[in-house]
Amino acid sequence: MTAERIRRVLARICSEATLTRIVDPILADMRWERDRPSWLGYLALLKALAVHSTLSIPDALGRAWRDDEHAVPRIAGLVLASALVAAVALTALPLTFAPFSMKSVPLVRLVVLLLPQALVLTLPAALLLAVPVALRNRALTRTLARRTVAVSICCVAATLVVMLWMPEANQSYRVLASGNPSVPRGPNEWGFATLREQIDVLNLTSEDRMTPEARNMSRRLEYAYHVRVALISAPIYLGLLALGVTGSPAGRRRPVVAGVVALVLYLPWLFEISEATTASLERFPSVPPQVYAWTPMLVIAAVGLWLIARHPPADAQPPITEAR
Amino acid sequence: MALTAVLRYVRFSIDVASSTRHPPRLSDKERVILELLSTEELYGLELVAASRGRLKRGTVYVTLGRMEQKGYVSARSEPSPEGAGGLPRRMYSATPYGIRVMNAWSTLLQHLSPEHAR
Repeated sequence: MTAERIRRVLARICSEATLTRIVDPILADMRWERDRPSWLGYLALLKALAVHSTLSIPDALGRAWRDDEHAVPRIAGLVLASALVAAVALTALPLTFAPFSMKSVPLVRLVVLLLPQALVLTLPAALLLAVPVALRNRALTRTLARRTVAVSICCVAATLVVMLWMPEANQSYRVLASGNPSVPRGPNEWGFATLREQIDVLNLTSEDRMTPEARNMSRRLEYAYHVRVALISAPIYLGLLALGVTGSPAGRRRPVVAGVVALVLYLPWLFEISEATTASLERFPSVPPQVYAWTPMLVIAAVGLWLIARHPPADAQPPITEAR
Repeated sequence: MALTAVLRYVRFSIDVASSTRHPPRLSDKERVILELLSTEELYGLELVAASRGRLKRGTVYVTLGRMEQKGYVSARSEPSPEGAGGLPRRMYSATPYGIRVMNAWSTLLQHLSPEHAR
């Protein structure tokens, strides 16, 4: 009975080949073992599946690379290219207003120092353009949707790396701009640990004895901390939105336009939200800063899931068989 | 433009690597399995028992699955006995190709081994 239940569960996860070649033989052979406890059989099944999954990784990666006319590498390449182009464009603005003291610094160095704070915004946002463009003229299947989510998860890892690099890059830029090597760090130049430490120090004072300035500072820092975490995970929500846009009738008809519109709407919307939040943090002290930080991401995820539910990805086309 | 060129190059390298034909290889475990299956048809646990510790229960089915994919062994489902429910046992046997690979591999190892070990 247990074996049947286990097989039913595994049938939902494993491929037909894995079921036939690994799961079924182990479960079938277990019936002939009278002298050994059955948990040893289940342990062997677990080990076999672990070994099989590990050995299958290169094959799975190869399939993901080749299938659908290299759709997955195309998404990844477009994400990288559009994120870099947009990030360089975003850095152009502060460079235009760079102080005179920085004119002697090589331009490439300045761009490299400003890139991290631009990339944390553009890397997740690039999915909105890359996914519809890379998947144009292609049926959005469940497999392709799963692989797109996998690319989004890789973007999360990349955004995390950039986010960890950002405080140091910001500080280096400030040192260059001020010409003072010991310029004190601000909240944007603190790493996660320092930021958390500062919040904890401010919160040590009891609520009734805390000055309004300290309370506001604590809330602003808490907001900044959660915004960073939310931005790191943003590729997942934006990936879902991108899939929703790709599957929608407008996304299928004009994928490039749909992607550009989604991107153009997203970035100013994010800046607007950020501005509005800064004002609201002081005006509504009862609302936790976490709500302000996470609501935009949850709204994006909800819109994405709603669009996907309206136009769900199709199952992969079965192979053409002879007519009976 | 540069990105497209890079992607094309990576794709080309992968295509070249995957299209290069290698002679069939045989791991130690695969050789043990082929030796055991060359004389009789066995199921997974019988193979583990007959190998006297050289094959482990947790990995034998994965190895068998891969050998089936390579065409070294073939498998069939044994009909369940009357009144017995559950999944049928999977019986494995060596294919003529698998036996040829095993013989060729044994000859190769013999030729490559140092003089004193022959």
